Amino acid sequence: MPQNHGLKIGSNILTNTDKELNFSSEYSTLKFYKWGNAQFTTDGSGNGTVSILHDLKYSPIAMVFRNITPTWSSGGIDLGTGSANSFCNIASVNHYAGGILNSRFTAYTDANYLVIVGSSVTPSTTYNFRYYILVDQSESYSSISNVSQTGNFGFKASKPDVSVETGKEYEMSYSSKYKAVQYYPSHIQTTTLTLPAMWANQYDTYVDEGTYVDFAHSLGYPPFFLAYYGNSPITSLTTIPYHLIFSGYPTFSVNGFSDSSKVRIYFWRGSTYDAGDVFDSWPSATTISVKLIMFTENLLGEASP
Amino acid sequence: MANEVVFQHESYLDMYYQWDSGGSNTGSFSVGYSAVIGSTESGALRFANVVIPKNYNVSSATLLIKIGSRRGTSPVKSRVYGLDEDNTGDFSSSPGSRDRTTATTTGEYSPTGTGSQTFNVTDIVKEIVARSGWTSGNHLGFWIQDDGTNQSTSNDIYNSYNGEPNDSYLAVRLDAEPNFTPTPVSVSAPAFPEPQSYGLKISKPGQNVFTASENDLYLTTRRKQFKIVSQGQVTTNANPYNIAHGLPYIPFAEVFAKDGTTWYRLPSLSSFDVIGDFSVNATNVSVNTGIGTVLYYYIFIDELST
Repeated sequence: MPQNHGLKIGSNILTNTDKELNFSSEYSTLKFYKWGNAQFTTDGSGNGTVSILHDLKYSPIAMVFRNITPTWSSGGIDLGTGSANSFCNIASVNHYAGGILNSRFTAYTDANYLVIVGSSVTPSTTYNFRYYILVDQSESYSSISNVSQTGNFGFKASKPDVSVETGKEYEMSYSSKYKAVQYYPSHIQTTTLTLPAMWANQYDTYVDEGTYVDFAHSLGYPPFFLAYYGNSPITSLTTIPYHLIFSGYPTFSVNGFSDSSKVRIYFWRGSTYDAGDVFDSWPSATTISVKLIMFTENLLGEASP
Repeated sequence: MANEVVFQHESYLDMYYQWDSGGSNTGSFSVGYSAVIGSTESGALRFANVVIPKNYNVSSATLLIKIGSRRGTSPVKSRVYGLDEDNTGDFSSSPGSRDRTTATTTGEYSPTGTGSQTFNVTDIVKEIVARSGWTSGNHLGFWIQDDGTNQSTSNDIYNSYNGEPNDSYLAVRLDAEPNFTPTPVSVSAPAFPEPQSYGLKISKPGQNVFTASENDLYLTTRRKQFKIVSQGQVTTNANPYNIAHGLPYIPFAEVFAKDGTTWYRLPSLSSFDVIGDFSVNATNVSVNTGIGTVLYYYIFIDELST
């Protein structure tokens, strides 16, 4: 229910809708708890892992980016390269980050750790990551956590029916102990990308096509970002990274990376002819909408205190 | 093997028609015969930013004319020419006296209702892109005129400028270019909001809130953050599994899936262990993880579809 108490901040808090407010103590927000850099060097089979202790006693939200120097890798086209210290999502095909290799990195959380895994990637190679662990849980949880209470200083707002003095840290809708996950409203951007019809045949047994959009950001550092793609005009949006693999052949991928001047999102399709079968064909031109939100968090910034 | 590229109008000035006895309009297109005016009608269509390299081998080119209204029941018989120009200007000046290509094609529209008519304009497009002054990305136009038959009553086709995707278009298939990279898109950097002397700032420990850089602020109300409107844990009993969000727009959302004793943020599409992905529309968060998966979700009041 709308409240006439609490704290609201907006351009006009008397007329702003809730979604327009910059801050409202009525709603909980996401809060960075621990962030920094991690790496592992793979063994001779290309397997590696790194575990980051959080000790929250519940599985928290975690987000992981891989530090890369982008180099386009699909077979037929070349969409160029990028600068060192760029960052991409993991657990999906990314043709700027080794293609299907990038899908072999995953991350998960449990009650004590964030674990980043590489399986059957390049042997004896060091991979670098940027991780974020939030105090907000990724599972239902109501017991004691290991996070010490803020104490009686700072600024806290608790969730409804929770005492701000005795509530657990994850029951706070906001706490100045943690870094807020923030963005400028102007840094939500939208565009469209179009690819023409295309398919392989017995003469052209592998073909692919791709294009990209560069969203300039003027932040001066590679930002934390979320991206989505959908139809045009938009009625539904799917989270990026996204890909399709057809009988072992990557056939569709929307992904990208962030660097100090831009976030690049690409749209790629491939088609392979193999012994009379075509994996996959794209008989019509397709336009997708791409939506991006660039946060103010610096992926090259200092680790948490 | 072919790649198809579709070109559209740039503005209402890319559509034109005239009564051949005198008088013209921009922003709409008509071909046929008007008994009211007592004149045949000729039209022109222009397509912007036609990315075809000079002398390129065009496999096929199709002109599709959208028909928004139709008078008469006799076939509308017409002949199509290209406007024989390096870079066709818009129709703020009449295209009726401009040079036309040698290549032409004919067609007729027999239906008595609305719809569309297509012409094979491959030879016309080849002739234009073979011009010595043609440059990829230039504008290209067509002249379409009635053949002079069927003049007993009004008998014509008509369409007005509506903007994409409701207007006529030119579809070109470029041969022998299997691996295709359309021109990338650039979006300029957005402006930052003006610094504010009101609101709330919280700096990180050890930083003076008055002098801390934006990066050293744990919170500033100059910026926004996602506001959680609902969260919870569910077990999927369908795939996709829909979580109704109750908001009248597409909101931001986050979804996590349990696998054993561990939790993965979606999307997680590892080629050796696909966990799943999700999409959001104006009704549901739709999660693809298979049946029986434990999910934890966040839905934010902040609008993704802005």
